[in-house]
Amino acid sequence: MNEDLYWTFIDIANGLLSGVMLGGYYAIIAIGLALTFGVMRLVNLAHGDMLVLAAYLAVLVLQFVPISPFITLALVIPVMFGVGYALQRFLLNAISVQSMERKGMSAGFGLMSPILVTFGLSIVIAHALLGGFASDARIIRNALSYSAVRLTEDLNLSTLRLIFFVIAVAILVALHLFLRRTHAGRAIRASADDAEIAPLMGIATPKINALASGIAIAIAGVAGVMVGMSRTFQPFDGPVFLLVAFGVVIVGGLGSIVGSLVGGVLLGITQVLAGTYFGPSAQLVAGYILILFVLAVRPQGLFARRR
Amino acid sequence: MLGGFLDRWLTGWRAKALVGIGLVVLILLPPVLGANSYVTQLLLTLFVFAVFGHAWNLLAGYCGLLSFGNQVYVGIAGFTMGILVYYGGVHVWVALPIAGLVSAAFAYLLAIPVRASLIGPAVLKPVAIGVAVWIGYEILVFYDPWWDVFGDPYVRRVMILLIIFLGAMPLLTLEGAYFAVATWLIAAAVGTVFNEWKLVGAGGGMRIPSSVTLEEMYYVGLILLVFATWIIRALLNSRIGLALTAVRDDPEAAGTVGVDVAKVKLLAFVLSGGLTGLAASLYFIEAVSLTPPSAFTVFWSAYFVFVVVAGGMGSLSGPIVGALIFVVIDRLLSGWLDQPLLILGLASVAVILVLPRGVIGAVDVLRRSRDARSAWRDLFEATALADLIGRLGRRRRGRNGNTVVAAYLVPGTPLPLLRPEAPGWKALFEGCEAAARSLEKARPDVLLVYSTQWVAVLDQLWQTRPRVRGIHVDENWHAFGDLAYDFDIDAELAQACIDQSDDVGVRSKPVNYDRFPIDTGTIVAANLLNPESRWPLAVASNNLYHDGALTGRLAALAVQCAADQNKRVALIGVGGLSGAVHRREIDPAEDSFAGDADDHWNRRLLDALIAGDAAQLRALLPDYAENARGDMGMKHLEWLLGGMGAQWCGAYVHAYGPVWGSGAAVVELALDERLARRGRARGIPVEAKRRLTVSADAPDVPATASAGRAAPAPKPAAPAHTAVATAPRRASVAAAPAAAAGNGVLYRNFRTQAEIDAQYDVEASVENFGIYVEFFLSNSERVRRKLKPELDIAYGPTAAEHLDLYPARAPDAPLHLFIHGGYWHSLSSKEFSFVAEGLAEAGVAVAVLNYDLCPNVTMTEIVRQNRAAVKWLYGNARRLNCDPDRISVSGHSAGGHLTAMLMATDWAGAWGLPRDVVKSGCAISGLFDLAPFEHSWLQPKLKLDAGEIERNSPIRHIPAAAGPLIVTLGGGESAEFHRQSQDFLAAWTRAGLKGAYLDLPGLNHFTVLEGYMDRRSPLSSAILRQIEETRGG
Repeated sequence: MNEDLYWTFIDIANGLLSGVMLGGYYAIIAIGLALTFGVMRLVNLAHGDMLVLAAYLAVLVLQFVPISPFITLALVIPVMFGVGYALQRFLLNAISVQSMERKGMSAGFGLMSPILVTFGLSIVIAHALLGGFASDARIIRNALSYSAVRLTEDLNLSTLRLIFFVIAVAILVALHLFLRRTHAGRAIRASADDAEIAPLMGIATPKINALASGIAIAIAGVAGVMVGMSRTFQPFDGPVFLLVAFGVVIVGGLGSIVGSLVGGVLLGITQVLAGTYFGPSAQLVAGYILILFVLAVRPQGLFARRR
Repeated sequence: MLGGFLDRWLTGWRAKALVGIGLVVLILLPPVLGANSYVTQLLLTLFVFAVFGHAWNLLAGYCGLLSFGNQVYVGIAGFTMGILVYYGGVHVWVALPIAGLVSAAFAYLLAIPVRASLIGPAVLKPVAIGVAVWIGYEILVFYDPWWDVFGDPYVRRVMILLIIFLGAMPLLTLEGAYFAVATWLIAAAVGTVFNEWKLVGAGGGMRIPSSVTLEEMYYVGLILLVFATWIIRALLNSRIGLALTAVRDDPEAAGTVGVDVAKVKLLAFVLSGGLTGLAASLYFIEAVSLTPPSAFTVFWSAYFVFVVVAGGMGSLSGPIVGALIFVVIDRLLSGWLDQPLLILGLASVAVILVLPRGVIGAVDVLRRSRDARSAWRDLFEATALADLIGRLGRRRRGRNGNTVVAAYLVPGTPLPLLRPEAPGWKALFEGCEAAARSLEKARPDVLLVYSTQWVAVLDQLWQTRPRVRGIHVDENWHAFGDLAYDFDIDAELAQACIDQSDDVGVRSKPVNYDRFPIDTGTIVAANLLNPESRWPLAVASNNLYHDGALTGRLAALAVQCAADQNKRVALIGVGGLSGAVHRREIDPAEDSFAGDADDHWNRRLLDALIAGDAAQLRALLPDYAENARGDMGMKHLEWLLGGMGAQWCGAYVHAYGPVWGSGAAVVELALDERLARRGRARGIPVEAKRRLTVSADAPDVPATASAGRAAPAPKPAAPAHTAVATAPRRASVAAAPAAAAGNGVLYRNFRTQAEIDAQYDVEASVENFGIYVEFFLSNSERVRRKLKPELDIAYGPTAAEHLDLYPARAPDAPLHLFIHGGYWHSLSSKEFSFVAEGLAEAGVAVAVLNYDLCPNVTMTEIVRQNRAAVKWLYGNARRLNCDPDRISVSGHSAGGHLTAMLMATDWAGAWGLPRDVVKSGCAISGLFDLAPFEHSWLQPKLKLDAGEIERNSPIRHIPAAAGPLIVTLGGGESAEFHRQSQDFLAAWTRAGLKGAYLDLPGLNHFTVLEGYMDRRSPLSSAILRQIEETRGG
């Protein structure tokens, strides 16, 4: 085979492979946001900070018990679920779009209050972390960072990303089954479909919303631990992950769970290929343009159904 | 929340009367308060944020367009100002409306097409035109690169593509959260590209220098606010305004009754962009400097949302009320607590939650309360709360606790004052002006001045004459003109200091007679910082028998006296940095440091000041005073440090440069973390025309002791990466080093150059050197093709300072710096591209460094370039998609030497970086003692002397703390190479540092590098393991 052609092939194959793997990681970051928006129609600006919070939680655990970072999830998941549940139950339910609409406010107006509150929350979390952990960059140490699965002489995959991808798919499948097969899941979907009618059908919307928020933040917790295992993080890194999550959710479709994976994969492939061909700084811009392009041609997202 | 109510209450004559009275008061306020009062400052901030609020409210409040991206206009207007003012020399008041128009034009670009979809035919034509213009531009740039304002092809193409894309994107057809996220992404994308754009300073940003006064800014701000309010009001009262409201309340219904929704949205969108741009321009005139990350940050949107929502969305007076709340919280409470943003965060939550039923609820309540009395009560409560918070803030900022409100180090030389236009001194003059402006904001009651030039011998003298004035002629610089002075003295404070100075064991005396010869330094400082004599001075003399510690105690005493008198003081230390001056006539434009190492030492001192670490500064000061001959042992600095005590936490360097050969700097010492942070971000300002210590055109500038001994400097080598083929095989030392050690030993047990050469000449040590060169070159080419690196990224100002980046596929990868060998005089980054292969495959980004070579530059300069590369990598890692907190280094041969130098660098002190910025290192076939090379065939090129060897031999600079180091070399290398590595590793581990020897049997000086091409090789695995083991957390 012609050598140039070979390298082009390898580049594209590598780009697709690492893009898909990166996409799994992005999907986990985004699922929580998709769920929150889909069910509560709430834009949670503190989503990224929740990730960072979870990462610090894992760091804290590992300081006391030297276990595998994956085992910290046993603590991180329930704690973050509690945080999400309490946040929705005691704070956000009072100012949700639905409750605003009930007071006769327009949807745009109703979006505003949670935005301001979650923005405030985002700052408060970041500063609390700054106070507790200082501004040093942290990372969750693990043995897998540099190991790779070699497919051919020039094709390989990062083991860590492969594991993340598998976890992402597992979470998606579990979430999908939960929403389809369980009573609570169906209640969440009903609430998402029509927040007005759901209570009339005997669904305790405040509790259901809190449950959904708990699940969303628990998944954000998983994402936080993964983020911490693959890069360093600091108290003020929240908005970085928020923007990634937004991008994924836009490409995949606001409120669509499966769309998160597809959106993540598309974003991942775009970034990796752009990085390969135009230099590392093109990764970000290419990602933004992909998202804007999707917004321009199909704002509801590539894989969302029109409601 | 007041906005809605005010709108209804303020109707008819009441509104007109109130607005009229308010305007008259605002117009008269600055003259009444004095030109530079803090209130004026706060009101200016209020005006700016009220206009920001108006612009955002126009979209969200009237059109239902929730924008998260209005910061894009902040950035665009800011950088338009920057380009116009900085490059075009346009006056800021001329540039301001232009920046507003550019923002509006950008908004128009985003807003069109108003109806079509992205792939519709209506879009194709403009896109085709855009692409045609672009191609034309590319051709133009191809023939004449002068036209390329973007600086490099990548930025140019991405920027133009982005503009075409944004032009084609029908932004306004998006709704709700989609619109919000789209605007945010646009701002983020534009900001990312600006971050790369060299014209606007790339990530470092740029400055908007101007000489406008606070008063001028105040009035422009007021005009801007009145204009914005008026135009929005006019808009609302017009047919369009009614349409706007209709669009907000029900876009679909409005459309059906004949309102052109799209057009109305377009108008509001463009107006919003223009207004945001105008306000941002004014903001940056006051803030002076801006960077892409700070200008395009989404935090701006958070501010806009806060201002509007807190004040009342969809009402005309809402943003003004909101801006008032914002100023109270952000500016007044910022002095009260360290964390202004935290307060804003809590306030955002509180605005919604604590106020009864949130903002919406409050508006509802007011809307329903037709009863004027209950409305009055609500109104009163809100204002009373604001007032209370305001008063609390002021009291805490005031006299309790912190007596010292500011501290400055300013040069005492009169030259910048007398010749402010001289290019070399202009920056210092402007630095003093900037310091004067910040002094105004600090609102001191008295300036505590200590000048090194007021020399006393018998006692400690204090000026007590209430007013001193006259004309002073400096004994050295009389040719440059006379110095007029006229300032007030705080005799009360001076007397208190005299009375109390027994406490520190010093006898003090007052000085109070007419025509007392005031020293030049005090006059210069008074004229530059206090030109209108707004504050009285307390001036202390420099007693030659007092040491630094005693000077510091005197300052602390003076501060205590001021505290007792309930006065807020600004400390002024007047004096220079390095002391050597030129002893000949010089052209001010060509001013340079008189001493070779002065610049280096001054920078170390400034870096230590910026770092804000007292222990580190204390450790440096004696060395500094000795090596740089610091002005009077830097007692003026001791004065400042003693006066500030534990409050000191960093420094902001306004200006730095040579004055007639001596060092001079205008430094504002930071008393709070905020300024310290700004100072760290700013670093040491570099003038555009700063002369490098060593420049390629003048290889002889740093006169080294070896100049007489070495052969005439050979012509600078041909372009470095052809050096392999063209460099002469071998040169011998032109003149034998006669001045070597007495017993005929040149180095250790070597007596002749031939003996040394035999051990160190690696080219002669292998049978066919050419094979290895060929191997390196061909593999490098292959790896470049495979990994597609970004080549020749500049990390410093000279041509050779660039590096090649081999990116990792995933973001946030660890970053590894490789430094090539070639005995400091040959080869380049390009022969060593192959080293990136194994590490990149393992997910590590690799930077292969290029640096200037001997004899073009000295060894010291090579080391500096290497260190500068680390600093650059740390600052730019994020945008290269790497992790700045995981930088590691390796190098081969001469690069092994440089690796060791990087490991031994005092990053926190001299470079303002984290102490452990280099997490780990691997020195391959390194050279850790340079002494033998003075006597080797390399000497004509390296031109080593005792100083160069001492400064740059890592074995003489084993650091106190450093990351782990691997020392390795090929098993087949010469005994001396083994000895160098072993000695260094022994010294390293003896110092308690982590170090390990990696055995690579069977390899020679060149084949040792092949391990880089396979990530499973012993070499690559060792480096990867080290990177893994030194992660944070």
